[in-house]
Amino acid sequence: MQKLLDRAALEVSTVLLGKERQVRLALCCLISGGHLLIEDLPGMGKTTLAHALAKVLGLQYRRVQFTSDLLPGDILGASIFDRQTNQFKFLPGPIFTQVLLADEINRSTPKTQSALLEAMAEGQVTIDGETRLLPQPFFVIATQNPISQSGTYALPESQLDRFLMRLSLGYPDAIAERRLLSGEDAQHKLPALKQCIAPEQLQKLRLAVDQVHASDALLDYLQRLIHYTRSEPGFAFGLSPRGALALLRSAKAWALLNGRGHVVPEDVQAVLPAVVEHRVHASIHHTGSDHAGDGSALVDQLLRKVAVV
Amino acid sequence: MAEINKIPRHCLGWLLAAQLALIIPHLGRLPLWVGGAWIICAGWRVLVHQGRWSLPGRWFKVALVILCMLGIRASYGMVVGLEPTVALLIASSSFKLIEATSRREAYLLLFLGFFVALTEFLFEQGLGTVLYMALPVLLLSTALIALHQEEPLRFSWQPLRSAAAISAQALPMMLLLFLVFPRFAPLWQVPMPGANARTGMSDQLSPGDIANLSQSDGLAFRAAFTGAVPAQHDLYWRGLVLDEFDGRTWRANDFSDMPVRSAPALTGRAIDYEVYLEPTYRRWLYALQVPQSVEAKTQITIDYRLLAKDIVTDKFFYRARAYPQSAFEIKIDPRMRDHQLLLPAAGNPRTREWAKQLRDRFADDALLIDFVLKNFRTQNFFYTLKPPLLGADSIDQFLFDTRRGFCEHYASSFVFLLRAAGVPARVVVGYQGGEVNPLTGTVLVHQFDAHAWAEAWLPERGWVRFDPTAAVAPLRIENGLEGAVGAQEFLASNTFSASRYRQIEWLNTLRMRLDATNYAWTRWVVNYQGDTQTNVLKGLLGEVSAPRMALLMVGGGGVIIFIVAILLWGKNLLGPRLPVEQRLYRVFCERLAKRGYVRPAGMAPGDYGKWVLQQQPDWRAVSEITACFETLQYRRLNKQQHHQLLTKLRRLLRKRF
Repeated sequence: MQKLLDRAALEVSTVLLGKERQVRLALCCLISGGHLLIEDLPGMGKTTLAHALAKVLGLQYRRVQFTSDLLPGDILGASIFDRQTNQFKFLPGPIFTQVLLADEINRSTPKTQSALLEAMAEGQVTIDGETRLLPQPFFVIATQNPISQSGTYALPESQLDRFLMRLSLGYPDAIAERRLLSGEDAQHKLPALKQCIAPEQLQKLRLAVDQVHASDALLDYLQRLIHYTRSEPGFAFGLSPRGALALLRSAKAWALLNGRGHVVPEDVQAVLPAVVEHRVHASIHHTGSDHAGDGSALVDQLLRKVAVV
Repeated sequence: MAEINKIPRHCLGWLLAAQLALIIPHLGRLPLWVGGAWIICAGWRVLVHQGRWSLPGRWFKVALVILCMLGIRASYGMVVGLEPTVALLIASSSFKLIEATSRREAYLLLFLGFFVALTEFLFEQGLGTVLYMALPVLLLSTALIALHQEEPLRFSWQPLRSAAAISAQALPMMLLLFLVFPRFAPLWQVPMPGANARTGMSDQLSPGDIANLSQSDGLAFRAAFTGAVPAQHDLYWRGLVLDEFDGRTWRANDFSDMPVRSAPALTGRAIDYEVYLEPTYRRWLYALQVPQSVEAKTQITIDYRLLAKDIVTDKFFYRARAYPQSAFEIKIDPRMRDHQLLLPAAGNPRTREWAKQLRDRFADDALLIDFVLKNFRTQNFFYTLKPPLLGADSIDQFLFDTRRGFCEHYASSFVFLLRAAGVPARVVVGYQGGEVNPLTGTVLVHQFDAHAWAEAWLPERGWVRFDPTAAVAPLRIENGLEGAVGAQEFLASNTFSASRYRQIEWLNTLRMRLDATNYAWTRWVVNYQGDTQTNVLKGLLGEVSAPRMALLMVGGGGVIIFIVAILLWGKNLLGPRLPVEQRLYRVFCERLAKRGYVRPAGMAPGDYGKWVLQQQPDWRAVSEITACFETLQYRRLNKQQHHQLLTKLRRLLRKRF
């Protein structure tokens, strides 16, 4: 299992240089069955990562470029009158796929963003009063530009909470940069990526995540973390139970990724920034104003202050 | 009515249970209709709660109260007095059931319940009663707790558990108060429970009285001897001297309770003993011959009996001393002597005739008595619990016709015969013998040990005890009643009495064990007052003074409350106890911290281990200990593996760090 995952991570890393950690986290997110939000500046390889992941997992893949005039029907599909049969015919939208890449999700209006909500939470969409199941597995990999960029609509908290992880890629280091510059364009390598994990193996991996053991001592640590977010005045609001479950599930997946049948605190700490950052906010009264709303300082505090043992 | 003021349903349930438990021990003393009234009221209340019936109107309630007063008047013949009051209390708490709707009235019912619980102890103070009364008190507390709770959706034992916990916490305080709280003389006089229903010796003796008494296995008293227990045939517990005869019944004379004029010179060996007397509702006590009063609360009467200052309504404890070899009243007042010769003017001619013949034959009183006793022994006299009924000249009939009788027949006819022959004599009633409990060495005297015998006055020797029963049935004196009448007749009407099955060894041991417990209870708990209390407190405090008493009460109470508080809150104060491996790991971290490698709180054990090793690559134990701890902490282990790893972790810590 671990080998399988290692190979997949390696394969993705051939197109996204120097980002092994982010690649592994993204894999971790996918095998725990969660949706992934990648946030970074344009041109950092967000789309490449999403595309590569879909390829490596061998899943059906569609991409929707979100723009400010995109309407829900454009994603979900619409019923169109067919003159030949004199009936309405449903034309499924791009959401009927296994991996949906929602590129630059925060460029569209909240109305369109929320059209994704039901699909992400329940794996089904309701159009014209009829509920249609989405194919399984169903992942949404969304990318977004930082909020400070012009022409963006911040995702509402409810939707942010539905993403298991939020990753940001960041600039590559010098070595990776050089390789990138001297080598072939990553876009050309993409089609050549091999499928590493078959759909039934993915299913097995998901079951294996469930089997990973989390001991009482670990759950204690987890609860201390959660309690800290809820009781410290620096946090505007605490972690929701869904957030707590997400943290546990990601930690289990991370343990599996590292070839362990049990979770250790390091697993929790490894996934903590990706899982928690987008779910917490600093409270207005307690920030020094410079990083208001940024979860990374809070997560740093969590990692430092909450006792592991 | 506001919802908040209603009585919660589950509270009512507990209240009814408590009332039932309260009434049960009173049932034997209450008129039947009071119990019936409670059942009807409780049933009514339940129906009200089910919404099938409604609460009664005002006139109905008024009628009930009047009926209740009339009923008590009819049952007891009076309205004032202990038993009528208790009956009234119980009846009114029953009636309150079909009136109470508000929380305030529920309080009233509950507090009334506690009061009813208290009244039980006016009648009984035994260990069993006290243990039983814990049940209604617990149920009342439960109802009190339930009254303050939300109505649960389903039945829950939780209020009972809370009540038990609260009572357990109150227990040490109760013991302290028991120990130190002064026993005041009652502020008001509680009327005594009626003595008429009691089994026990009465102040007169007619044929059949003692035979009736011997059907009872009730305890009369316990006696504890300082030295060895005297032989069975010496245990004549004198209670009452009867010297007036009307042809059928013996009575005590009017002046018999007068104190003795001058204390007699007592000689010979003394026997010291203590007696725990069950309530008799009489003044006389039971003492061995010749008694000496050693306490102010007892006195010696003119006929050398021990008498209490007041009527014995509770368990009564007294010390006494006996001089068995001493003679008494060698010099008798001639008027007294004449009084002991009085006989009815007519009746029993055959006995009188025989007495005359005897008088002619024997000039010496002692020889005459010997002959009479020999006569009892050699002629066909039978000792039986079921003698034939006797007519008008009962003594004649007994001595010459039936010749079957119980001790009162023998004592009565013997004294009559002696008086007719001119020898001063009188009947003595009391108890004879007793059962020695091997566990405590105390003598148990039961009602079936009741006995009647005779005393005759002889010149130079004073009053001498003669027991005609001993002549007829020596076994009665040596082995007690059962040995004399046989297992068939012994306690024949008392099938379920434990005393009846003495041959069954384990049952007898159990009975003795129970008695030993009761004895200890009586001695140390019921009798813990007055001197006993003072002595115990002296032992504790050195001297009994107000400041020291206050110190003991406040200090002891403080300590108890502190301990209970620690038990209650201690867990929260100290935090939950950590698992062993975590404690060991903390030790490990502390030792590393002393060497300069402090683990930040947020650093996971694995990371910490790696970090330390990076800087001290040859501390290989660090990685071993870390791995061991991680496995213990985060892996799924069975008990055995867990134990092995824990041992390993301990060893590693001890050896390497």
